Amino acid sequence: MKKGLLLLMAVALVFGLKAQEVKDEYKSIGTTILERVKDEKLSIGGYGEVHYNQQINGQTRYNGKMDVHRMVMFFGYQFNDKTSFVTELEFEHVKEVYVEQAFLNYNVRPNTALRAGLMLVPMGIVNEYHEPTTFNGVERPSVDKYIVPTTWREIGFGVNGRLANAPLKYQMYIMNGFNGYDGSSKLRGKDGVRKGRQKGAESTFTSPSLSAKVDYYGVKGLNLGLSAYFGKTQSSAFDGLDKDDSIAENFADSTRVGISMIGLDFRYRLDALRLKGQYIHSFINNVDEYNKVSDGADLGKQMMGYYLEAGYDLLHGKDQSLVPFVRYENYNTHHKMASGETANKAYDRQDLFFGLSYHLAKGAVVKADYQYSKNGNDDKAYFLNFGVGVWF
Amino acid sequence: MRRFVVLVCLLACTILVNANNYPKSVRKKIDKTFIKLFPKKVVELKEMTLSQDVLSSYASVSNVKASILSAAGEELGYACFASSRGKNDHFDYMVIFDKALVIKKVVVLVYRSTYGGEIMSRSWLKQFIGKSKGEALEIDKDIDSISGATLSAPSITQGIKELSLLISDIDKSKESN
Repeated sequence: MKKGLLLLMAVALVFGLKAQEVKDEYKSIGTTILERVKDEKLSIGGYGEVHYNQQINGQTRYNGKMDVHRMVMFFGYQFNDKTSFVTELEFEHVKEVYVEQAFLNYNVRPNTALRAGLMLVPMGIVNEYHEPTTFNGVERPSVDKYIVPTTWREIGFGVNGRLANAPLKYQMYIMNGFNGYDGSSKLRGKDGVRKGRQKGAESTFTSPSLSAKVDYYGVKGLNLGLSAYFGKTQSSAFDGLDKDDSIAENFADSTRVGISMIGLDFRYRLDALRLKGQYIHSFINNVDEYNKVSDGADLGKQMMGYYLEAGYDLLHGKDQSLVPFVRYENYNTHHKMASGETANKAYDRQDLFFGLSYHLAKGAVVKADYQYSKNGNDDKAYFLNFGVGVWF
Repeated sequence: MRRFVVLVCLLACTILVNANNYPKSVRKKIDKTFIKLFPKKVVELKEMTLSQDVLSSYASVSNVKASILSAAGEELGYACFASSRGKNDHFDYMVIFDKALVIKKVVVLVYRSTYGGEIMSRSWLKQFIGKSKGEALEIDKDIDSISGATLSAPSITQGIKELSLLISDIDKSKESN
């Protein structure tokens, strides 16, 4: 009954709004602006990264790793003024093929768009802006890898847009969530929910999740972002479940956890100075039951990560850029544990990067960095990383 | 969660039905700008015809329209409308020049893509005010770029520079007539 009334109210609202027909005498200027002789409907682009990671140690010899970490092709097709399709196809480590994005976009209004398909979850900076020429350091920040976890994309639908009178951008999507159980538990202490990413590949759906982000860009040079994510993980234990079988349902419930995430990020540019920072915190519930399902499961109850980065463009004002930078990261996938469980100190991690990004031209960068990693057990590791990255 | 999904669907429906109001909000923006720039004046636009040879020399802007702004017979300046390319979309904007061809205001009218819309920010567009004759309009040198608007910021900067040069050309040819 309540749902029916709600629907009726919505329909009435829709017709009420339509009834306000205002005569637009100056339509000619408005429409001529929006007339567009589209030169090409298809746009093609891409980005790629080739990396060399070398662990170094006074006592031990390590082999290095050379990897075409990513090679991504981007295609966009403009059907008409309002309708477009965007897709990103990716080769990771040469042999793994993924689709990073594949969504239909519909501009209902100049500053509002509806979209549906496989989309990037708006959480943090790098998950959305991950082309190699847009961040410092050969690899993406560790906080983004372990806590976000990037590249995080799922199938869903929603709305994004900009406010007409305020420098605010918003995104809100209903999406599929992580898969926490497919016969055995997938989420664990070392990398949190990373292994639960479904990436739109025959993904299991039990119940929807909500993802939202607001960006503020009112102060020149500053981008502020606030992200939120709420949802329960999916589980194969619900497939074919008899709705009267309460024991099976109880078991199925214990294979799911509820995730609430909050993210805060900023990017600031002032002349040659480049500052960035990010803070992500995840609250996971039902972890005590989840960890009892599979042997050795050690998912944490809370995870958190943050980083601060400062860079300076020595060639500011010229076509090329040379940016020495330093980044400090602190992240812990065992920030808080369920009662009775002990945190693994190895998961309390810190990384320090000193490096250089040399942009030969806009869209082509050569990177190098020195990485110092430490964990709660006081284990230390040192790396030298080199890479080339392009975006076109 | 299910109730929220229903609500979002209904919201989407309301937005969809009102989709044909495309030009009205754009016109409102233009009117508001004129009211702010020329208070107490009723601004009239008289469109100028631009020859193809003139337009062909400006490659970064498309759909260029230029109008003379006047109020009660007094010439106030010019308004240029143009589109430039972002990542895989075009965005539309308006540049207002005063009689001395100095940029008074830049307003982004329609921005279609999800990314790069930070160029709509008034505080960023303030950088263009006071420039004239296409001078001092180089991105990263005279105009600060924006994180997240890697393509749209240089694109609109180049577009504004070309419109500024275009208006100078038109003005020069007007004088020689």
